[in-house]
Amino acid sequence: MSSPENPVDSKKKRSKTHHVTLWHRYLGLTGLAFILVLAVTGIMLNHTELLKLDSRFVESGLLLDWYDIKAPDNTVSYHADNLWVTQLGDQLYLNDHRIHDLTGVLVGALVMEGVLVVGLEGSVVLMTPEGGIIERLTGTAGVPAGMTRIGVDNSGNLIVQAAHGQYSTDATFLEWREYTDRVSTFPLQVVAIAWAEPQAPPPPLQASIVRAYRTTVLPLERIALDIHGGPFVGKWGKYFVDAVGVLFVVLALFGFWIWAARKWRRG
Amino acid sequence: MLLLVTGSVFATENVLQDPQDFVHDVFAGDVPKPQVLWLTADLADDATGIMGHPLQALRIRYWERDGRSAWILEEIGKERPITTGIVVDHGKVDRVKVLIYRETRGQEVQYTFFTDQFKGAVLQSDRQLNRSIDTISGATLSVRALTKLARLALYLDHYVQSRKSG
Repeated sequence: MSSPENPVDSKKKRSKTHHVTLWHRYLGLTGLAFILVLAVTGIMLNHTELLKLDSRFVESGLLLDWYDIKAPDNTVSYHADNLWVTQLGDQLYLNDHRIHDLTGVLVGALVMEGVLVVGLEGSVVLMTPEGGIIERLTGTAGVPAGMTRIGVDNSGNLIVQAAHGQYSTDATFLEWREYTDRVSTFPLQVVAIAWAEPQAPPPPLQASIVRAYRTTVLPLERIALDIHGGPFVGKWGKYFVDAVGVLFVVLALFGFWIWAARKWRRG
Repeated sequence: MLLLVTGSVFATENVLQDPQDFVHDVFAGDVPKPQVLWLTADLADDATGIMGHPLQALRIRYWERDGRSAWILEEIGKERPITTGIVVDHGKVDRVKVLIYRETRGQEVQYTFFTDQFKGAVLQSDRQLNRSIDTISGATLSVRALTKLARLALYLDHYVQSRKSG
């Protein structure tokens, strides 16, 4: 038979439990926001594909500035009729709309009989003025290797300057041949070739392209990961999240303490 | 076999045969002039149905003579396009050859033990092949891509031949 507990000791223990309960409550309230954030971002990251977090990109200027997302400086633009074809980094733009699925170094752009001809290193892409791809011509179609620029001669033929000379194609872009018009005519005539030359785009268009570029860089998944792991708030963020983790451990221990103390008191 | 490595490891191109050489082989050196097939709305819709996505072109180049046509088509296996040469002879697949392989896995589809399965295949009314193509473990997406390209080539050839015969 156990001896009755000293009322003074009992009061001290109840007081200690009361303090622990208060701390548990305050810490719990403090951690509430973090629990919600971690739970929500954790669930989001568990369903990245479903939520398309890896293919949707941040458009907020504030967030992009926070991540110091900048467009590259090396803009190359060609003006063809009223269209601008621009390369910014590894992306290509028609006016300020990104041309998806096209990569390569831009070497020129011009319009021939309503067809936008975009010269990329290794390929010539035929496009509608609205941006639809008509055909992508590569070495398979006879496009010469090592293309450095494109132009039009005074007969309206497309001319490309390639590694081993100049080549031209007919109006259907079906066959390529070495460009020998300059020497096949007699008496020799000077054949002028209007080469596509890079130009600086108008500042508003440049700004629009830069804005469009920035919105293709930062996927939502990165934001969710950084909020979940802490780097979102800076280099100390992950230690802060560590501290929050410790807080949750303390909460769990306090919770166990309170539960055990109450159970013990009730016998 | 020519192996071209451009850029990073991820940009490896395994050129098994130059596409122009393939066409040259198909017509034994006497290559007909290339022709283009413009994708009308109906054709584009049907092609989308076969490929499972819209084609990234408004016209497709091909070579044809006496009921035998050659097509150089591309489809992404998992991440990068597989350039494939397909020959259709009087409505039947005569040859499927992987010309440029860029994926990091699934290279088995380039071997004849796989591509020979297509030989003689025809397109049924539901635009499926009349035979099942055995898949390869670890190369499922590449197998699927080549199967779709074979169906597309048969469909386009059928359209071209029908148009020729009036």
